[in-house]
Amino acid sequence: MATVVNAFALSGVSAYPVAVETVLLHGQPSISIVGLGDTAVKEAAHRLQAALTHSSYDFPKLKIVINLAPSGVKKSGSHFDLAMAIGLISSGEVLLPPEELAQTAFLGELSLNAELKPVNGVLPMAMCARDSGIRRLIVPVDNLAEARLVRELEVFGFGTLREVVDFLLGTLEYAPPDRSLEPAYSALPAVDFADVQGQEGLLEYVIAAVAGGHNFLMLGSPGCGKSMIAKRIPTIMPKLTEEEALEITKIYSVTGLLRQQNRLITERPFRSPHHNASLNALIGGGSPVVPGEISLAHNGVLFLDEIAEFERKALDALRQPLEDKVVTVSRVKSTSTFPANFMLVAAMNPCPCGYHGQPKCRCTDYEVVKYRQKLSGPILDRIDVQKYVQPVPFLSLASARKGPSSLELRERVQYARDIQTKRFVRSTEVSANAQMTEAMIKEFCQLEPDALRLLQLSFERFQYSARTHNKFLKIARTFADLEGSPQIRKKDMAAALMARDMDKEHTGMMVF
Amino acid sequence: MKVYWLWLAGLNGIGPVTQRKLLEALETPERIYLASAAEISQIAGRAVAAILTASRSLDSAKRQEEALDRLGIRLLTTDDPLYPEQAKCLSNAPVILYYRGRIRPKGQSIGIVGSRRCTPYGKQVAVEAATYLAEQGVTVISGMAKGIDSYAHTACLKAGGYTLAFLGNGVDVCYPAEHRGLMEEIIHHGAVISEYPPYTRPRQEYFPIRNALISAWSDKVLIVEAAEKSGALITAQKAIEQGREVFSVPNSIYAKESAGTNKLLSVGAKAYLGPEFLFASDPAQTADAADCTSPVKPRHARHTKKPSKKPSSIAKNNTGLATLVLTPLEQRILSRLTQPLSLSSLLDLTDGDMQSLLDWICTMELEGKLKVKGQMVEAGSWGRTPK
Repeated sequence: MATVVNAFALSGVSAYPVAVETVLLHGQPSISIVGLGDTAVKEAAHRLQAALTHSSYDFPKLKIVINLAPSGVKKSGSHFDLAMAIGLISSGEVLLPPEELAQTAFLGELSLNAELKPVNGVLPMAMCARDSGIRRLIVPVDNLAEARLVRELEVFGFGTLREVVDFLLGTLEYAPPDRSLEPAYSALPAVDFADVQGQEGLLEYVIAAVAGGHNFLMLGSPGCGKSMIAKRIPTIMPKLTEEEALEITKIYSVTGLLRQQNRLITERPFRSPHHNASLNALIGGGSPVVPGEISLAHNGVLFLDEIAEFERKALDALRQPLEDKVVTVSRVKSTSTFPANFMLVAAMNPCPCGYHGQPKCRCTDYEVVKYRQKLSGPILDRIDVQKYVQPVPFLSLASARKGPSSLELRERVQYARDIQTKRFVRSTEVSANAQMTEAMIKEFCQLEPDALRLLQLSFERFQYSARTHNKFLKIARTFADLEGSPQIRKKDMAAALMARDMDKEHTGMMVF
Repeated sequence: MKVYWLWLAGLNGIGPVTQRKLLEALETPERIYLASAAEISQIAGRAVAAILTASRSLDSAKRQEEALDRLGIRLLTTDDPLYPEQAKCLSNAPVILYYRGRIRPKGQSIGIVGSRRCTPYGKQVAVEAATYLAEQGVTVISGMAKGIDSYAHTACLKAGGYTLAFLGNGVDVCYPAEHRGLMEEIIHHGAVISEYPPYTRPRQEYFPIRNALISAWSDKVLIVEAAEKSGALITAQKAIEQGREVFSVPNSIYAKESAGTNKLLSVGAKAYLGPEFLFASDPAQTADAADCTSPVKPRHARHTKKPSKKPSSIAKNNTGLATLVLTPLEQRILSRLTQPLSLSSLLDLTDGDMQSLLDWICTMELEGKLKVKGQMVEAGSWGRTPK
């Protein structure tokens, strides 16, 4: 009879249970691993043989068949090694009574010297273990902290195969490794908005963008502080809820980015892929499919510096995730859905030379417009706030008053977010002003007469498109929320009308 | 008929000068085609006659004619009443011009040219001049190049004016590529003109000839910005040779971009101090100075010298201020704006309240009291160009 050992396989950012069935048959000594494993799974045969021999077991001279059920689904990764080894050993001697074995699951890669190596995706697998009624989880010691984020499980971490076997047999007392197992919450974020000086005008719009969930584009010459501001945006976003933190950690776990940290991610991520990033690197892909940058920025900030230099195709692929907050990567054999609820922060030079508006710029309006058209309309359409960043003269940096700290700003953001949460309590899809539908804009964006007059005046003057009209209303709504005003007042409208520098400039361009 | 014109213009080894000589003698290209070798050699010499007898085939001309029809390109021949007389003064004026759009009977026209890499100052001057001319119903002529040329065309069209663009390539080719939209607009509301047949790609040596056409078609030429070595200076040179009035825009003597234009001023071009100057009845002292640079005596040099009088339009400026009603805060904001300032540096006026500062600034901008460019605030331009 075949022995059955519990393990898991990854699909997207979640895991599903896999039964590792091992059977020894009479026949030519051989080992075959079936169940649609990739090369890493197939090669486990050699690792198993070496590791078992090294742990002074006789490798059975029989025909060994290992099946990973469900057998019709492709599986990948080296984390099945431990379960297979336990299965093989169990077919020779009884390690655990069957009912206990059924409540235990194993994860880990084996080295040729029978050491347990850490693997990716431990958190989602641990969550899957909890959900499928497994009580005990055995993992490599380096994955222990991550697996322990799932509190309802008994998690044990070991360094070698021998230790695992001895523990199962009851000959080894479990001694947790003496490193701290509590999730290490980091004390203080390394960056703070207080470092940004002399940008008060811009700061107001950063706060509004974060508070209303508006995407944000910064225009400015090289070295004017665009990246500096972008890096600090996650620090003023509302604090992560535990659920959000787990979602992020899961994604990082699957992509293998968690190992250095090995704890719950408690800060909002900030991802800034280089502009040569491919479409798949941004939205996810590969074989097996792994999350891309937009999912790594889930619940945080995706910063696209020099956005005009990104491949147009890659940028256009962001359109759907920006709307839906998830991305679905479809392949012939599989479809994976990854969360991708991020704030898009982009930066670009205002013209090919980078110094538009300054005396040294010699770019013609036609060149400027051509340069800006590298950003397709649909992408620009999803960016509500577009502001110029002015370089702050070095000398005035010394004398400038210190800016408000991230903590203060976060309070203002939180205040406006709370109002929005109440406003959109009926809706499942909309949680912030930026996502308001046409009907919601009509319902929630009530203008005071003064504000309406200002809006009309500015449309006459700058000939904005009808599409821009709604954007101004959404942003004005956010400015009103920041001060807790139920109506959109003149000052809210005024601030909103100055939130789209590029559009405004475009009406003054001498081009056709 | 068209086919003979194309045949004549396409003859290898016979330039526009000879072509015109033949036309003067025989009146139509068809007659030239049919003329005997003896007749031709009597008019233009034996070498020309030899070339003509050697190229009797009309095939390529016919092919070209079909291409023109297909591409919607029209021909302007020297016998066409729309071909301005003054443009024929050019000794090597082409006998046919290719164009797209509509050529109106010659009215007053002014050429505006300048460097491709222009400064915001140059842009402002070009736009202001072209807009003014469009409003006066004057044709704006330029070369559809980057920079000043494109601003002149664009501003003229935006003001509802009529503009002609002379190209150094076929009129079916758009160069530079980003001017595609502009070219369409010009074709729609004016014309693009070239002496080069369709499919001709731009080449460096084509542009000086194009420049000569610009000045030939213009009554006056305004050079907005030109560095030491600039194509615009060739236009200026041609304009002087053709006896056109040349206006040059003064700028700082340290501005590299204006080295050429400032130099033009020093050798006698008229100083352009505002669009009205293009029509000032008062002749500046171009005549004598132009002699220094040009061997040809300018036609317009007949003006008698008068002590120059300052046009009164300057005094009109800077008067708008008094009529505007300003609140005390607005006054305080404006008094600071002697130079562009960032929003942050005005923050103390509202006791650090950014939202109410934004309110003031936005309202003032919509009332035209100031201009906001990104984070920078500058004084408005009211008073200078009241609308």
